[in-house]
Amino acid sequence: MSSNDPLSRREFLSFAAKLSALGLGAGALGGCTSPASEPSPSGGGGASEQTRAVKRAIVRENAIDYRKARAVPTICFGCTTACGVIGWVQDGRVRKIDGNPLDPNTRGAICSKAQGMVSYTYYPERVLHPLKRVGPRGSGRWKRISWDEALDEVARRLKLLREGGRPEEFVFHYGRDKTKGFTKRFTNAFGTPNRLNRRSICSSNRRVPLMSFYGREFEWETQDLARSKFMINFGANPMEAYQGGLFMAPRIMEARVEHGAKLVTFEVRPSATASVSDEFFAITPASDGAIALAMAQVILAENLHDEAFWKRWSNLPLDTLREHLEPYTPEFAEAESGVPAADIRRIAIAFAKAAPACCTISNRGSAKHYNGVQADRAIRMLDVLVGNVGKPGGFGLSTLRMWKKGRYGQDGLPEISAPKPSPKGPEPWKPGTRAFRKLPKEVQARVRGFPEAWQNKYFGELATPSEFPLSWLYYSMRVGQLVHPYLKEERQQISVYMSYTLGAAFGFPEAKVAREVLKDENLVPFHVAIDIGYSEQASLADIILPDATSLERWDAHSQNSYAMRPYTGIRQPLVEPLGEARPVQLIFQELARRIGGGMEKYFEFDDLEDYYKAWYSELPISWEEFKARGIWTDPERPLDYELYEQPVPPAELEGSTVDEETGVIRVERQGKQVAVGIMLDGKAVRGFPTPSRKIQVQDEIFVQAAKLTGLSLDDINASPLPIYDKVPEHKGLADDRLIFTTFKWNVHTQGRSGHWKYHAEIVHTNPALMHPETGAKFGLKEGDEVEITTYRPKGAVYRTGEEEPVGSFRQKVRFIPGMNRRVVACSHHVGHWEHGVVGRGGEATKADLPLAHEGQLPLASSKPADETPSLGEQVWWAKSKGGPGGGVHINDALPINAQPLVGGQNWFDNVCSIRKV
Amino acid sequence: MSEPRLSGPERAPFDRLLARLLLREPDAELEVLLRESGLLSRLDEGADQPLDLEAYAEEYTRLFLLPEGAPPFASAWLEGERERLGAQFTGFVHQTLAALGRETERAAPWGNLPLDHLGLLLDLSANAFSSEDPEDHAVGEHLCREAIQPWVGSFARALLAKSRLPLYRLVGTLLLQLHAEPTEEVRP
Repeated sequence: MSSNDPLSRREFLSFAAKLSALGLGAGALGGCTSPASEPSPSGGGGASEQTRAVKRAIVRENAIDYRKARAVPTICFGCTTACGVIGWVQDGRVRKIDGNPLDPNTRGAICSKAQGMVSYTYYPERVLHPLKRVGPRGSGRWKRISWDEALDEVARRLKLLREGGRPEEFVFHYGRDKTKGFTKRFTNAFGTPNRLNRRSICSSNRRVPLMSFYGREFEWETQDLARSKFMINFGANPMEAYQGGLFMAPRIMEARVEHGAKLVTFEVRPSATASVSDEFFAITPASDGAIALAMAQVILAENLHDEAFWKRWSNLPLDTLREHLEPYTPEFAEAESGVPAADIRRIAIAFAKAAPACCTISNRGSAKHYNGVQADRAIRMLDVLVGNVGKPGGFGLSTLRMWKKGRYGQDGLPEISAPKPSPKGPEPWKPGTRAFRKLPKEVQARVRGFPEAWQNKYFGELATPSEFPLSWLYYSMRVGQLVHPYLKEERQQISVYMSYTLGAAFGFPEAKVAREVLKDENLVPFHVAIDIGYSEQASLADIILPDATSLERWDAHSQNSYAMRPYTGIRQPLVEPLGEARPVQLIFQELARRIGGGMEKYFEFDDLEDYYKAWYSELPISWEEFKARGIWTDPERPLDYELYEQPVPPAELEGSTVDEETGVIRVERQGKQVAVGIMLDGKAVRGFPTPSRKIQVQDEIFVQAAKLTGLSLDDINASPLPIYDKVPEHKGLADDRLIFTTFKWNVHTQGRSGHWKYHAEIVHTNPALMHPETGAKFGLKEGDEVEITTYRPKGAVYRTGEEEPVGSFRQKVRFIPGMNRRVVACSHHVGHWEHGVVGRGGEATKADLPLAHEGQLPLASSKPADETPSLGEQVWWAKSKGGPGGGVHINDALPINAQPLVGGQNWFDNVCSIRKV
Repeated sequence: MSEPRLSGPERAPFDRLLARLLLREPDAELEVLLRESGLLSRLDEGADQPLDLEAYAEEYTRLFLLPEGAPPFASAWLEGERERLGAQFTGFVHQTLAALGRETERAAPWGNLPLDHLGLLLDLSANAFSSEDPEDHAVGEHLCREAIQPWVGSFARALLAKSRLPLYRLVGTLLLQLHAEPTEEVRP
C-alpha cells in the first residue's frame, strides 16, 4: 500500500471509527482551538431561528458593508512618502485603504501602493511564524520554532557579547525603519554603535548638499509648489517616484492649471514628470551641474539675481561667484548636456523673472553621480541667487524631524518624543580605546588625524567609515553598500548580524557581494532577519522573526509639510498581527528583558499603545481624538515662510554673546555654546541652522574632508564651491559604450513590492529601454534580446579602474523615442527569486534553474513552471503562459560606487556595452 | 472512485485529523494517534518505524510555511484577486460561525491565521458535522461546497507532487478523496 493509493469506503469507515474512538470524532480540535470553540452542550451549534434562516444565504461576498466596517486612520507604509490614510476593517480584516483628508500633505490622495499594504499583509506566502534553519545557510531548509525558543537564542548570543564587553560585535542593519527611534533605543541600550542602514543607497548625495547649505534640519526640501510660477526639475520624478511625490504632484498640477506655472524637466528619459512638463530635455547623464551653473551665470549676467537676499544670506561674496562662474557658459553647458545654449539662457531668465515664486526640484537623477553632490549644490545655488528661499512659491524649508523643544522652526509646537528614560548612546571610538585598537592600522592613522569634533562622532568603520566623513558628520547616514565589502575585508569583526526589512541580498549594488558575505559563517557567525516575507535577505538568515506589517503596528510619525505648516500623525494597528507575527517594538522589548543588565528599564511598558500615548502626551487634543483623526496640525499657526527672519525672542538672548566678526549669537546650554541666531542690521534673527547662520554656498567642509581622507584636492568632490566636471568614466566614452541607468515605477517601491500581486500585474518586467536610433546603431529591433555588461567606474571609488566587467544580464529591448541616445535604462524592482510565486513571476523555483555561469545568478528560466497545479496559475504574465515573465535581476551587475566623502551610491554612472544575443 | 463518498458526519474525524496535520507539525501525541488508528500502516515506508519528527517539522515548514511549497490558503489557489478572495473567505467564515451559533466567539479560535486556511476550514466543517442538528450539517455541506471544494483539488495534487514524506502525500490523497470535485482524478 502507498500513501498515494486511494482508500476504499470500507477503509474510510474503519479508520473513522478508530479516529472517533481516539477523540477526533466530536468536539473542538485538540490543541488548535480555544476553549470557547467547543460546541455548546446542546450538541448542535445552538443556532437561533434567525441564524437558521440566514445560514443558507451564506455567500462569498466581496462588498464592504460600510454600516459595519470600521474606519481607522493610520500612516501608509507603501513607500517612504508616508501618506495619511484610512483603512476599512470588516470582520477583523483590512478591506480597503482610502486617503485621510486631514493629512495636509496629501489632502486625501493616495496612490496604488497604499493598497499594496493589504497585499503584503495577506499574501499567502507571507512568513507568519519564527523559523530556524536546519540545513546549511541559504539551503532553504527551515523548521518552525516558538517565539520563546527564537528569542532565547538571539538573546543568549547578544548577552554574551554585552557581558563580554564586545557590544560593537552586534550589528543591526535596517532597510526601512519608521519606528522613529525605537530600534535606536535598543541599540543604544545594548551599547552598539552599529545601527546601520541603507541611506547611502537612497539619497545621501542629495541630502548632503541640502544640509551643507541649510543645516542638518533641512536634509529634505519642501518647495512651495502650489504657489510657484516656474519650476525647474533636474532629474526628479515627483509624478511617479519621489519621497513626497504624492504631496508634490497635485500641487504642481494645481500651479500649472490655476496660474499657468511652467515646469521644465531635464532628464535622461521621458519619465512621467517629463511627460507632463511644458518642456523636456533628454540630457546627457550627469550634466545637470553644468546646466545649473550656466543658468547661474546667465542670471548674474542679466542682473536678474536678488542681490539683497544674496548679500544678506549667502556666505559667498557675489564678485567671487561671478568670477567662479565665468567658465560655465551656456555654450559649455550645451556641449556637456546637449541642451541648446539658447534654451539654457531663455529658461534661466524666465526662472529668475518668476522669482521669488519659482523653485528648483532635484533628487536622484542629478545627485546619484560622481559629480552629483556638486551638481545638487549648483542647483540649490540657483534658488539662493534669485532669493526664493523660504518665500511663497519658492524653495521652502520644512523639517521632517519629530518635534522637540529648541529645534529650529519648531517654536511653539508641542514636544513629541519617546518616553523617558532614554538610553545614552555608546562612547565614541577615540584613539586609545579598546575598540579603536582593533581597527586596521591605516584606519587608526586616518582617524588620529581627525579633529576632536570628528573623533567624538567616530564609531568604527561599519558605522562611521573614515573615508566618508560626510556620511556621518551631519547625522548617521552610513555607507550601507560598503558594509559587506568591509566585513569581507575584515575591517571589523562581528558576531551577531540582525537585518530588519533589509533587501541587501537583492537590492544593493553588486548584491552578490552581500550574499557571499551573508553566507559565510566566519564573517557573519549568526544572522537573524526580522522581515515580513521570505526575502532574499531572510533566506540567508539563521533565524527569521516574522514582523508585523504597517497595518498591524504602532509608530509615531513626522514628515516635512508641503502645506508649509507642520503636522504630525500616528500609525496605529488596524488589525492584530496575522499568525505569530509581532511588531518589531515588542520583539525588542522581549529581547531587552531577556538580555537584562539594565536594558529592560528602557522598555517598561505593558502595552504599545500606552507607549505611544506617552509620546503624544503634550498634544492639545486627547489621545482618543488623535487616534480618531490620525493627524494633528495647528491650523492657526503661521505658514513656514522666512523662518530665518524670525526674531530671536528676548528670553533666549539673555546671557548671549555676539561674535563681532560673524554676528553669530550664542548662548550656553548644558555647558556648551549653542548658536541661536545672527545679528543682522542690529536685529537678532534666527538665520539658518548652519555654523555661520547663513546659507553656506561656500563650504570648507569638503576641502577639510578631502585633506583628512587623502582625497585629491583636484577631485571635483573636494571643491568648497559648486563646480562641474564630467564623471571620470564618461570622459572619452567610447562610441560603442552606453550609460546604464535605473529608474522607479510608481506602482513599486524599491525591491519590496515585486510580490504584491496587484502591483506586479501592472509592472512585472523590466525591459531595456533605449532610443530607436540607439537600437539602430547596434543593429537591434524592438524585442531583441541583448546582453548588457557593466564595467568598473573610475575615480576615487571602490575597486576603481579594474578592467574586468562587473557583471551582465540579459533583457529584451524596447524603444522609447524620448530617451537620451547614449542611455539604456531598466527598472530594478523585479527579478526576484524569493518572496513566492508572484515575486518570481511564476517561474520555477530556483532549485530548478540552471546557473548561468559561476558567480552569477540563475538566468530567468524559460522552463515551464511546476507542471502540477501550481500557484503559478495566478501569474498570468509568466513565461510558461506566454507572457514576458517576472523580469531580470540587474543589481548584481551594478558596481558598488560610493561617492567620495559622502558615500552615496552613484547608481546612474554605469558604463556598459551591449550585444545582441 | 465509484464508491459513494462519505457523508459529512462520516468525514468529520478525517477533517479533524487533516486540520491537525495542516495547522501543526506532527508531534509524539499525533504519532500515537496515527499508529493506533492504523493510518501509519498506509504510509509508503517505515510503517513500523517511529516518525522522524525532525524531518516532518522541516517538511511541514517547507510545504506550508514557505513560498516554495504548497501554501494551504484558498487565495493561493483560486483564480481571482488574492485580496478579494481572502476578504470573501473572511466574511464567509464569519457568517458560518454565526449560522452555527458561535457568532459571539472570537472569530479566529485557531490563532490569528487568515480565514482561508484549509486547516481552519476543515476544522469548521468537522464542527458543523459533529452537531446532531441537521441544519448545522447543511451549513457544513455549504461550507465544503463553497469554500473547500473549488480549490482543494489543486492544493492536494500539488501536495502529492511536492511532498517528500509519505504522511503529507497521504494528506493529499485523503483531501482528493474526501473533498475534491467528484469528477477529479484521485491519483496525480
